[in-house]
Amino acid sequence: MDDLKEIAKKAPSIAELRDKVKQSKTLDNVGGMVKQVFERKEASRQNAHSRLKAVMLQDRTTMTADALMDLRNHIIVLLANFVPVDRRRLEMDIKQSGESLVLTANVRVDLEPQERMANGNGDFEERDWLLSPKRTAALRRDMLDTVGSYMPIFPDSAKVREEHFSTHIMVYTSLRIADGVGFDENAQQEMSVSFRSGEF
Amino acid sequence: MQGEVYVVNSGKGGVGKTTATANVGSALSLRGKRVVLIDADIGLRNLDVIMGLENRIVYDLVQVIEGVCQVQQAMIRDKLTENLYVIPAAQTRDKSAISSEQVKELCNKLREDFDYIFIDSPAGIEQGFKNAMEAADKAIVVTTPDVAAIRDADRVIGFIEAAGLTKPELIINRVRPGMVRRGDMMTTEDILDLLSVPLLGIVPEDEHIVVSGNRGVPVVHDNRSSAGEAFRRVAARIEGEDVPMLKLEVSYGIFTWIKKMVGFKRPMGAKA
Repeated sequence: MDDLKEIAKKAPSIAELRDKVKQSKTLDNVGGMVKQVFERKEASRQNAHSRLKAVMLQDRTTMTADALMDLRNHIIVLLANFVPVDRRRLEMDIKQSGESLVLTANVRVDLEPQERMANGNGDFEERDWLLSPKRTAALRRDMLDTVGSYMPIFPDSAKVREEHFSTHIMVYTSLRIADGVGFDENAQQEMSVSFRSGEF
Repeated sequence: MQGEVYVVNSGKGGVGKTTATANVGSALSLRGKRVVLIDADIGLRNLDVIMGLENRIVYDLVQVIEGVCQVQQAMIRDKLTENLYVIPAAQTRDKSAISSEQVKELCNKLREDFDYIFIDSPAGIEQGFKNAMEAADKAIVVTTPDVAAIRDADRVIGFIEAAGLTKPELIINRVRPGMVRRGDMMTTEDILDLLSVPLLGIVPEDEHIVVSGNRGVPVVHDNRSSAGEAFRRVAARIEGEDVPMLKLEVSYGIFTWIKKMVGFKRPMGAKA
């Protein structure tokens, strides 16, 4: 009993506790204000842009996110057979063009200066192309086969073009989707590959 | 005279479609063009109140289409601008009351007397939207810089392009330059990258819009309103003029700060 009395004596009074809470709240507020002033919040704009890009890609094809991710990976593998591909540098998009949808997959290829066979003016000549006419035709054919296994596409609609810049080369590929809106929903269910959000 | 029919849609509701229709139409009539605005949002009409013409309604769009009255009897003449008329939507019917063929027929009739016919389409992608879209030659899509509105705008753009209309033009409404500057609102470039359509106008968030709606006077009548100026520029672009986009700037001056502190607001002139 005496022990309990002793403990009660040592314990802070309610008024003291109130003061302590008040003090800590004030400190928290000051801390929060300092944090607000100095902490740089990550801008939400970029986040919105990348989320929308992914979600709109799905809307345009009525394909699931998984199926799109799977398709993207297949396109990377396919392009890697023809050009050196950095998988982070692949931009895939599906956009309405006239009455059909167009799928584009563009990749930026950065080559070391010694690898770039520029002539004296820094311009590239036909012989310096990454893709010879023969290889371009092969890439077109493989694009049709790969994308055609995911969605109906217009035959012979695949286009491949490369453009040389002073620092890099862009390889542009595109093909027309025959009926993007009416994509077979049953086919979507069969595709399941894990999707990392924000990948596109 | 062979007028052009524009449909104004958005996908998502509440982005300022009706405000845009009222203001672009008013701005074109201020430029001397003969304009008629059709409210196709049957059951949820609002164009009349935005224009301040709600007390003048006798007949509506459905009654015109059903042959209850002549189209001229349903057209309400604007109180501020000459050559501007409004055909109100029916408030007590639903969107199935009219078909796309009927709207098309009406627009073809109006083409003969007007330079521009604007159809204020209902939000969404239902029958009302299709009725409005199929009657039009060109489309304007209104969006705000937020994810839901942009996603819905993309859906609508897809339908418009699939319907064979020319590529729709975009009005980005309620842009807040301060938020864009801070990186908390998508930029015009971001939105154009996502939607891939030509830009018709950028309209800043402006308190005058609310005031003008309260008064039933489109904001293009207020020369001090930045949104009004943006809509006037949209009208000029529709007329084929090469007008620069409105420069949206954040004011950081000491006077802006003082004005904010004392809650000073510019009075809105309602005079035409």
